[in-house]
Amino acid sequence: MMAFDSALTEAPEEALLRLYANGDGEAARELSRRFLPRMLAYGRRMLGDGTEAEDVAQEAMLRLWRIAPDWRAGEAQVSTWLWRVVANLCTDRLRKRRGVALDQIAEPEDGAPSVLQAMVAADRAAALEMALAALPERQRQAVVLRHLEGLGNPEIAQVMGIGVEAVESLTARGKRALAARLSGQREALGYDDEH
Amino acid sequence: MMSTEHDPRLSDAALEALFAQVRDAAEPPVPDALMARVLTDAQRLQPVITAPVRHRSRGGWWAALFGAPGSSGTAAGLVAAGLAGVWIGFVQPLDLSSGLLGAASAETLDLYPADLDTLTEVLDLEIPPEG
Repeated sequence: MMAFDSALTEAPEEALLRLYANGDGEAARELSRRFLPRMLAYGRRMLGDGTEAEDVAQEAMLRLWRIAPDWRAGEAQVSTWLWRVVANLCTDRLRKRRGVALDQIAEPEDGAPSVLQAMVAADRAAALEMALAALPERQRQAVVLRHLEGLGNPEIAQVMGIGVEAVESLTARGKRALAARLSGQREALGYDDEH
Repeated sequence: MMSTEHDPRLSDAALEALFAQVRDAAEPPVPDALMARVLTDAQRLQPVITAPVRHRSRGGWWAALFGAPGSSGTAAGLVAAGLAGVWIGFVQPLDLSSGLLGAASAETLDLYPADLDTLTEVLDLEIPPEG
């Protein structure tokens, strides 16, 4: 049994999904263990709300269970498919929350007052999370997937349904905006002496 | 402390370091309740696969004879074949030439006549003289 469990932890994600579709309950546990934490973290970074992120992560996994019997081998990676589902679910929620069209939020001007200026001794991670939350949604998606989740640009392009060049553009604009928003926190973040 | 002589934005290197710090930090654990809900969904939506039912043979000598290797059917088949051999030996005690093949088989057929002239006469062939 231990050897079987070990084999599951090393099994490719598509094989796990096939096992699940064939009635293997342990495969579902392994898929959840492997993907749920990352989808939850991604949802938190996109939505800035733990409860909503949980709902999104659960819904994404539920859609995975539903599609498992009809999954076409080799067409897409399970992880990429999940990223895309979570991204779309987050977009829907953000759209409802804001009530405005995407990408209509103006990027901050360089040197504009930082949203973090009120934080005197902000934790770096918290500062970044807050700065990310202020980015336009598509830029945030691209930056989070590229720099925090570690996906490559081609995979991000699949997740977001755009071209690689558009991903590069969004990432670059997002990073510029982040740098501008964090500018007022150089000292608090401990970077002032470094440059 | 902040200098106004250089770009006030955070440098790329500083931003990359910030990304790395957040990326490498341990993610908060998945709440047990969420994992339980996800696994409940998985169980509820998991396809039910029924294994094919194997029906036992109702018997019959052919079924025993062609049973799966290693099964009791194979043994029964071997016994049946052995008994068939005994029966054949019992009811056919004659030797092959006189019994099974009949009288015709006991006669010889001269396929190559010793007298070649006789053959040429039969086939009406002309043999050219030598030289």
